[in-house]
Amino acid sequence: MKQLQPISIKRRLTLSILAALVAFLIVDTTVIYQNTLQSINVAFDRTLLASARAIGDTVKFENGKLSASLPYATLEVFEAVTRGRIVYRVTDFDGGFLSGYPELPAHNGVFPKRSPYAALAAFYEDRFEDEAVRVAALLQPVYVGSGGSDAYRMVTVQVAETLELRKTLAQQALRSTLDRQVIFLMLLSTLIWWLIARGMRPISALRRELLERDPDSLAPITTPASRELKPAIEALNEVMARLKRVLDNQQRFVRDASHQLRTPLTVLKAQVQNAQRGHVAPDVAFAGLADSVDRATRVVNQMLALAKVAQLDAEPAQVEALTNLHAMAQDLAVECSPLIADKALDFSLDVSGAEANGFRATGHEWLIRELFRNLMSNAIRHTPSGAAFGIDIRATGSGVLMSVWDSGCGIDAEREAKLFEPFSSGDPLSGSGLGLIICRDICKLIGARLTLRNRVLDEPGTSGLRATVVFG
Amino acid sequence: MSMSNGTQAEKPRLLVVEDDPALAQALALALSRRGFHVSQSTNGRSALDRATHEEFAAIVLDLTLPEMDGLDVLRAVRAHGTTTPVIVLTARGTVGDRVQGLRLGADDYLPKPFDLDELEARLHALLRRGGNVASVRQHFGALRVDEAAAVCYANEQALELSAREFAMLVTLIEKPAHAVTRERLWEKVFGDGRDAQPDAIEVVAYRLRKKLTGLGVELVALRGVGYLIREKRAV
Repeated sequence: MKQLQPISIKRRLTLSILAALVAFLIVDTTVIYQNTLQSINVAFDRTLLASARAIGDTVKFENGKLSASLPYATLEVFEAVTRGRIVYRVTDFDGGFLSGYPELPAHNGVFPKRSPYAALAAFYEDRFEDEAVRVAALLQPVYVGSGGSDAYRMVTVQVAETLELRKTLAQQALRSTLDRQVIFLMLLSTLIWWLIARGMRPISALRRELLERDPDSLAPITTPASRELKPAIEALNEVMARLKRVLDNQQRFVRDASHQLRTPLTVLKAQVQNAQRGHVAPDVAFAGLADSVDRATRVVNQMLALAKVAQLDAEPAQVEALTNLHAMAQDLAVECSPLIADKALDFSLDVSGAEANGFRATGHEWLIRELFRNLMSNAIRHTPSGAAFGIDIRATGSGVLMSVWDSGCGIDAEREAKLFEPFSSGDPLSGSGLGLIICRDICKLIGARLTLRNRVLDEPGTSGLRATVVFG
Repeated sequence: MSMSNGTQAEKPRLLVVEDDPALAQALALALSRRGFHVSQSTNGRSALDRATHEEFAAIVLDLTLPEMDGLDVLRAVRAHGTTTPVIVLTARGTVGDRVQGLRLGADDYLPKPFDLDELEARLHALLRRGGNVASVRQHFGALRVDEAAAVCYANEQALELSAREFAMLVTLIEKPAHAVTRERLWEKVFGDGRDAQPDAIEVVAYRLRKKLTGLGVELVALRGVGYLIREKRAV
């Protein structure tokens, strides 16, 4: 995967604001330039039209002949004003050349019906002797006499000027606009950069604080922060709290594990040495070794189970699953059946109440299975050979209840107080002392309630314990 | 480490893939004594090479191996088209591993530490399922089952069992001292017969239990779950 460059909020904000600003200035400059261009054209067109009128006024019809005299003085004045060259052309009634420069192309467009000038005039761009020119064309009425509707006929007067001045003026206007905009842009970018840098100060402060912390510290950040930073800091604190839980769990686990694993290994070692020196008979020695191995196995499995519960605790999403209790209980009985067979126990799985919801309990199947594996293991261990134990599943009004009962010795008040302390198993040789801790942790995790009660039995001399889990 | 003797040709050939020398040696010894011809491999690459080039009745595969992970070996063996049954051994023991292993084509799965008798029983079950062994003789206490002949001997005396009782006994002996659910027993005993009642299995169990009386084995009911067969001894 491509490594992503970490983004700088400061640079990104500045660049995007500047980009928007530049885009705005470009549009603004374009509009200003267009407007300027139009104003220049209107002003110069007026002058051009005036010169066309001056020429038009000299067109006379006398003795059946058209004539136009050139008002050189007028044109010179115009030339001086526009600093360009001015040429003209007069076209007679029938489109024939009358006067002026024949090289100027005759006007062949139409005249707009409405015009801001009190005349029939049109303005357009054309070329004259390979130079771009602006042309004013004017329809000039000429009196031909004899009255009536035919008293006037139209000649066309065109005056064209080269565009030097217009161009120069437009360029000047553009340059001054651009100069202004660039200065504007520079001032604004500096201001924006400064404002953003100021706005980012709390982030730099937070960064400094994080860097200056004790590297081992997982304590929450308590510095007051701006409203926008608060959620990030809260999330950070949450992550650190979770990390702290995991670390604490790991530390406790390592401490407990070394103790719990060394003990059966020490026993094993002693047993092996005894056997090697012939202190015990081989079959007795082997039976002892087998027991020790079983015990070590159980301890390892339980330590790992405990670690896994803690791990699931740190990932709460794992707990949302639904588990079918009846199927799981059957499965668990099959799994434990070698132990049941070994002690010839009288096992029964009883299900009562409506199975409308299929006896489903909220919680990861592995967790619930581990919970009951431990309760079953306790029950099997404490029930004397040949005696009865079992599992009851019952639907209650609000949820499901699953209990494991045995025919052991139950618990007395003294032991009851210590039940949920690690490694306080009643029988140090058979239990790791972790089973009920695992059960308690799991119940906490899946929101179930675990109670241990001595069974009340009618028959004298019998006793037992019932461990009940109420699923919410 | 293979134990060779005159009957080697008839023994099912096993490939045991395990990198820990002590465990590999113990496994080879135990499985040879239990009637298998054992070949060994101590790393993933050689295991893959042998599994795809030689004929084995079954492969016992550890997951944590040098050079090539056991799951990768399994995947490659199956990708190669080799259908030899594979039983996976692992100390990882998480549910996820188990599911992944079975999905990648493992036929069975045994978490460490395991019982050698359990491994043998599972291997026999695999070989039977694969049809690699024409007739497996199962012993349990005084009982000896000849599945091909559909006869069960008690102290070398043929027991008079109905086909259903025999089917139930064979299913239970496959996993001695280990419960089999009623549902699975019903399937094995009645097949796809739809006429049998759900509780008909209790009747078969009742008759079988009576016929096993005095033979040193007993049928135990786990009420609400199923049945198991165990050797009767003083408790």
